[in-house]
Amino acid sequence: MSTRRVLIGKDLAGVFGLKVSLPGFDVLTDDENDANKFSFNSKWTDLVKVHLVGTINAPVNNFSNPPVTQVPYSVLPYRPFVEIRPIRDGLIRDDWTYMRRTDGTGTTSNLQTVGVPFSTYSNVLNIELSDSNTKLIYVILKAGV
Amino acid sequence: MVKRVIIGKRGTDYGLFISPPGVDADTASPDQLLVNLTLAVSQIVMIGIAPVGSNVVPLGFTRSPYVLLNTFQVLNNVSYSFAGRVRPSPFDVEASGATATINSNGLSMTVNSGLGCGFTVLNQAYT
Repeated sequence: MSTRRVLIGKDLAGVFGLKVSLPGFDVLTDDENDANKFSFNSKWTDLVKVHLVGTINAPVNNFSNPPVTQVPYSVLPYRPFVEIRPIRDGLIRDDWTYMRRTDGTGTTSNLQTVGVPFSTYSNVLNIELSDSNTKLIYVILKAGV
Repeated sequence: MVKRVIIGKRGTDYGLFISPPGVDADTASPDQLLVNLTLAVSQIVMIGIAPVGSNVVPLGFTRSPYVLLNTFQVLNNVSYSFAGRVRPSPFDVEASGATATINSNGLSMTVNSGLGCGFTVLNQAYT
Protein backbone atom coordinates (compact mmCIF):
# COMPACT_ATOMS: atom_id res chain seq x y z
CA MET A 1 0.00 0.00 0.00
CA SER A 2 1.27 3.46 -0.80
CA THR A 3 2.02 5.92 1.99
CA ARG A 4 -0.83 8.23 3.01
CA ARG A 5 0.36 11.75 2.19
CA VAL A 6 -2.66 14.07 2.38
CA LEU A 7 -5.24 14.48 5.12
CA ILE A 8 -8.28 16.77 4.90
CA GLY A 9 -10.53 16.48 7.92
CA LYS A 10 -10.03 14.91 11.34
CA ASP A 11 -6.65 13.54 12.38
CA LEU A 12 -6.24 10.76 14.92
CA ALA A 13 -6.59 13.31 17.74
CA GLY A 14 -9.93 14.44 16.32
CA VAL A 15 -8.66 17.85 15.18
CA PHE A 16 -9.87 19.18 11.83
CA GLY A 17 -7.33 20.49 9.38
CA LEU A 18 -5.22 19.91 6.34
CA LYS A 19 -1.91 18.09 6.45
CA VAL A 20 0.53 17.04 3.77
CA SER A 21 3.44 14.80 4.63
CA LEU A 22 6.71 14.52 2.76
CA PRO A 23 7.35 11.44 0.62
CA GLY A 24 7.81 8.34 2.73
CA PHE A 25 5.99 9.63 5.80
CA ASP A 26 2.47 8.70 6.85
CA VAL A 27 0.32 11.78 7.27
CA LEU A 28 -1.75 10.09 9.97
CA THR A 29 0.79 8.36 12.13
CA ASP A 30 4.11 10.15 11.72
CA ASP A 31 5.17 12.86 14.17
CA GLU A 32 3.51 16.10 13.03
CA ASN A 33 5.89 18.14 15.16
CA ASP A 34 8.83 17.01 13.06
CA ALA A 35 9.26 19.65 10.35
CA ASN A 36 11.33 17.20 8.35
CA LYS A 37 8.29 14.98 7.84
CA PHE A 38 5.58 17.45 6.83
CA SER A 39 5.35 20.03 4.05
CA PHE A 40 2.19 21.61 5.42
CA ASN A 41 0.07 21.48 8.54
CA SER A 42 -2.88 23.81 9.16
CA LYS A 43 -1.91 23.83 12.84
CA TRP A 44 1.07 25.95 11.95
CA THR A 45 0.41 29.53 13.01
CA ASP A 46 3.71 31.11 12.03
CA LEU A 47 3.27 31.11 8.26
CA VAL A 48 4.37 34.39 6.74
CA LYS A 49 2.20 35.79 4.00
CA VAL A 50 3.32 37.86 1.04
CA HIS A 51 1.90 41.36 0.86
CA LEU A 52 3.31 42.31 -2.52
CA VAL A 53 5.93 41.13 -4.99
CA GLY A 54 7.16 42.84 -8.10
CA THR A 55 10.03 44.13 -10.15
CA ILE A 56 11.09 47.66 -10.91
CA ASN A 57 13.89 49.14 -12.96
CA ALA A 58 16.60 50.88 -10.96
CA PRO A 59 16.70 54.58 -11.78
CA VAL A 60 19.44 56.13 -13.87
CA ASN A 61 21.55 58.89 -12.42
CA ASN A 62 25.02 59.50 -11.13
CA PHE A 63 26.17 56.91 -8.64
CA SER A 64 27.02 59.28 -5.79
CA ASN A 65 23.54 60.78 -5.60
CA PRO A 66 21.03 58.13 -6.65
CA PRO A 67 17.39 59.12 -6.87
CA VAL A 68 14.87 57.34 -4.68
CA THR A 69 12.63 54.82 -6.40
CA GLN A 70 9.33 54.45 -4.58
CA VAL A 71 7.18 51.33 -4.46
CA PRO A 72 3.82 52.19 -2.86
CA TYR A 73 1.60 49.51 -1.35
CA SER A 74 -1.59 49.32 0.67
CA VAL A 75 -0.96 50.51 4.19
CA LEU A 76 0.08 48.03 6.87
CA PRO A 77 -0.03 48.58 10.63
CA TYR A 78 3.78 48.25 10.75
CA ARG A 79 6.91 48.61 8.67
CA PRO A 80 7.07 45.32 6.80
CA PHE A 81 10.00 43.00 6.35
CA VAL A 82 11.28 43.39 2.79
CA GLU A 83 13.65 41.40 0.60
CA ILE A 84 15.23 43.00 -2.48
CA ARG A 85 17.55 41.44 -5.02
CA PRO A 86 19.09 42.92 -8.18
CA ILE A 87 19.01 41.27 -11.59
CA ARG A 88 21.82 42.33 -13.90
CA ASP A 89 23.53 40.70 -16.86
CA GLY A 90 20.95 37.91 -16.78
CA LEU A 91 21.83 36.91 -13.22
CA ILE A 92 19.74 37.06 -10.09
CA ARG A 93 22.11 38.24 -7.39
CA ASP A 94 22.40 38.36 -3.66
CA ASP A 95 21.55 41.71 -2.08
CA TRP A 96 25.23 42.50 -1.58
CA THR A 97 26.86 41.64 -4.83
CA TYR A 98 29.73 42.27 -7.22
CA MET A 99 28.76 43.84 -10.52
CA ARG A 100 29.16 46.77 -12.86
CA ARG A 101 26.85 49.76 -12.96
CA THR A 102 26.06 52.21 -15.73
CA ASP A 103 25.29 55.85 -15.03
CA GLY A 104 23.06 58.31 -16.88
CA THR A 105 25.78 59.15 -19.40
CA GLY A 106 26.25 55.54 -20.40
CA THR A 107 29.55 55.21 -18.56
CA THR A 108 30.00 51.72 -17.10
CA SER A 109 31.95 51.24 -13.90
CA ASN A 110 34.50 48.60 -13.07
CA LEU A 111 33.33 45.55 -11.18
CA GLN A 112 32.52 46.71 -7.67
CA THR A 113 30.74 45.55 -4.54
CA VAL A 114 27.21 46.89 -4.58
CA GLY A 115 24.53 46.78 -1.91
CA VAL A 116 20.86 47.60 -2.29
CA PRO A 117 20.05 50.38 0.18
CA PHE A 118 16.38 50.82 0.99
CA SER A 119 14.05 52.03 3.70
CA THR A 120 10.56 50.86 4.51
CA TYR A 121 7.50 52.62 5.79
CA SER A 122 3.99 51.35 6.43
CA ASN A 123 2.88 52.10 2.88
CA VAL A 124 5.96 52.72 0.77
CA LEU A 125 9.34 51.24 0.00
CA ASN A 126 12.18 53.61 -0.93
CA ILE A 127 15.06 52.09 -2.89
CA GLU A 128 18.30 53.95 -3.55
CA LEU A 129 20.26 52.05 -6.16
CA SER A 130 21.18 53.67 -9.46
CA ASP A 131 22.02 51.67 -12.56
CA SER A 132 20.64 51.76 -16.07
CA ASN A 133 20.86 47.99 -16.50
CA THR A 134 19.52 46.63 -13.23
CA LYS A 135 16.06 45.33 -12.47
CA LEU A 136 15.11 44.90 -8.82
CA ILE A 137 13.00 42.10 -7.38
CA TYR A 138 11.16 43.10 -4.22
CA VAL A 139 9.14 40.92 -1.88
CA ILE A 140 7.15 42.61 0.89
CA LEU A 141 6.15 40.22 3.65
CA LYS A 142 3.34 40.60 6.15
CA ALA A 143 5.73 40.66 9.05
CA GLY A 144 6.62 43.78 10.98
CA VAL A 145 10.13 44.87 11.85
CA MET B 1 -17.04 24.31 16.55
CA VAL B 2 -15.69 26.70 13.92
CA LYS B 3 -14.95 25.79 10.33
CA ARG B 4 -11.21 25.62 9.78
CA VAL B 5 -10.95 24.45 6.20
CA ILE B 6 -13.00 25.43 3.16
CA ILE B 7 -12.49 23.86 -0.22
CA GLY B 8 -14.78 25.57 -2.68
CA LYS B 9 -16.84 28.70 -2.22
CA ARG B 10 -16.14 31.28 0.50
CA GLY B 11 -18.30 34.32 0.04
CA THR B 12 -17.92 35.11 -3.64
CA ASP B 13 -14.48 33.49 -3.96
CA TYR B 14 -13.53 29.95 -4.79
CA GLY B 15 -10.39 28.24 -3.60
CA LEU B 16 -8.76 26.65 -0.58
CA PHE B 17 -9.02 28.54 2.70
CA ILE B 18 -7.58 27.56 6.08
CA SER B 19 -8.01 29.57 9.26
CA PRO B 20 -6.01 29.40 12.50
CA PRO B 21 -7.45 27.53 15.50
CA GLY B 22 -10.49 29.28 16.93
CA VAL B 23 -11.17 31.37 13.84
CA ASP B 24 -14.01 30.58 11.44
CA ALA B 25 -12.64 30.13 7.92
CA ASP B 26 -15.98 31.28 6.53
CA THR B 27 -15.97 34.70 8.18
CA ALA B 28 -12.27 35.36 8.79
CA SER B 29 -10.74 38.35 7.04
CA PRO B 30 -8.21 37.51 4.32
CA ASP B 31 -5.44 38.72 6.64
CA GLN B 32 -6.44 36.19 9.27
CA LEU B 33 -6.32 33.17 7.00
CA LEU B 34 -3.28 30.95 7.15
CA VAL B 35 -3.85 29.78 3.60
CA ASN B 36 -5.82 31.69 1.00
CA LEU B 37 -5.42 30.18 -2.43
CA THR B 38 -7.73 32.55 -4.21
CA LEU B 39 -5.77 35.75 -3.82
CA ALA B 40 -3.27 36.88 -6.40
CA VAL B 41 -0.38 36.72 -3.99
CA SER B 42 2.66 34.55 -4.19
CA GLN B 43 3.14 31.37 -2.30
CA ILE B 44 6.60 30.15 -1.53
CA VAL B 45 6.98 26.88 -3.36
CA MET B 46 10.52 25.89 -2.61
CA ILE B 47 13.35 26.64 -0.25
CA GLY B 48 16.68 24.92 -0.32
CA ILE B 49 20.42 25.12 0.11
CA ALA B 50 22.91 25.19 -2.73
CA PRO B 51 26.36 24.00 -1.71
CA VAL B 52 29.60 25.57 -2.91
CA GLY B 53 29.94 25.41 -6.68
CA SER B 54 27.52 25.26 -9.57
CA ASN B 55 24.19 23.60 -8.88
CA VAL B 56 21.29 22.96 -11.24
CA VAL B 57 18.00 23.06 -9.34
CA PRO B 58 14.95 21.63 -11.16
CA LEU B 59 11.96 23.99 -10.97
CA GLY B 60 9.47 22.84 -13.58
CA PHE B 61 8.08 26.29 -14.36
CA THR B 62 7.30 27.66 -17.81
CA ARG B 63 8.19 31.23 -16.83
CA SER B 64 11.00 32.72 -14.73
CA PRO B 65 9.99 32.74 -11.06
CA TYR B 66 11.04 35.17 -8.36
CA VAL B 67 14.13 33.82 -6.63
CA LEU B 68 15.83 35.17 -3.52
CA LEU B 69 19.40 34.20 -2.66
CA ASN B 70 20.98 34.36 0.78
CA THR B 71 24.68 33.66 0.68
CA PHE B 72 26.20 32.10 3.75
CA GLN B 73 29.33 33.43 5.35
CA VAL B 74 30.82 31.77 8.38
CA LEU B 75 32.34 34.16 10.85
CA ASN B 76 34.69 33.11 13.59
CA ASN B 77 35.12 35.98 16.00
CA VAL B 78 37.21 34.96 18.96
CA SER B 79 36.83 38.35 20.67
CA TYR B 80 33.08 37.98 20.92
CA SER B 81 33.10 34.18 21.20
CA PHE B 82 30.99 33.98 18.09
CA ALA B 83 31.20 31.37 15.40
CA GLY B 84 28.56 30.68 12.81
CA ARG B 85 26.71 31.87 9.75
CA VAL B 86 26.00 35.59 9.55
CA ARG B 87 23.83 37.99 7.63
CA PRO B 88 23.75 40.38 5.84
CA SER B 89 25.38 38.92 2.80
CA PRO B 90 29.11 38.36 2.77
CA PHE B 91 31.25 41.42 2.46
CA ASP B 92 33.88 39.62 0.41
CA VAL B 93 31.45 38.94 -2.44
CA GLU B 94 34.15 39.69 -4.97
CA ALA B 95 35.13 36.08 -4.73
CA SER B 96 32.03 34.43 -3.44
CA GLY B 97 28.73 36.21 -4.10
CA ALA B 98 25.96 33.87 -5.15
CA THR B 99 24.11 34.26 -8.46
CA ALA B 100 21.27 32.37 -10.10
CA THR B 101 20.50 31.93 -13.77
CA ILE B 102 17.00 30.88 -14.80
CA ASN B 103 17.21 28.22 -17.50
CA SER B 104 14.67 27.51 -20.24
CA ASN B 105 11.99 29.87 -18.97
CA GLY B 106 11.97 28.44 -15.47
CA LEU B 107 12.48 24.77 -16.19
CA SER B 108 15.49 24.89 -13.87
CA MET B 109 17.95 27.34 -12.38
CA THR B 110 21.68 27.24 -11.98
CA VAL B 111 22.95 28.58 -8.65
CA ASN B 112 26.61 29.48 -8.46
CA SER B 113 28.09 30.24 -5.07
CA GLY B 114 31.59 30.37 -3.68
CA LEU B 115 30.37 29.98 -0.10
CA GLY B 116 27.08 28.15 -0.46
CA CYS B 117 23.71 29.85 -0.17
CA GLY B 118 20.08 29.41 0.63
CA PHE B 119 17.44 30.03 -2.00
CA THR B 120 13.73 30.79 -1.92
CA VAL B 121 11.56 30.31 -5.00
CA LEU B 122 8.20 32.05 -5.20
CA ASN B 123 5.25 30.75 -7.17
CA GLN B 124 5.06 33.86 -9.30
CA ALA B 125 6.78 34.76 -12.53
CA TYR B 126 8.46 38.05 -13.38
CA THR B 127 8.70 37.33 -17.12
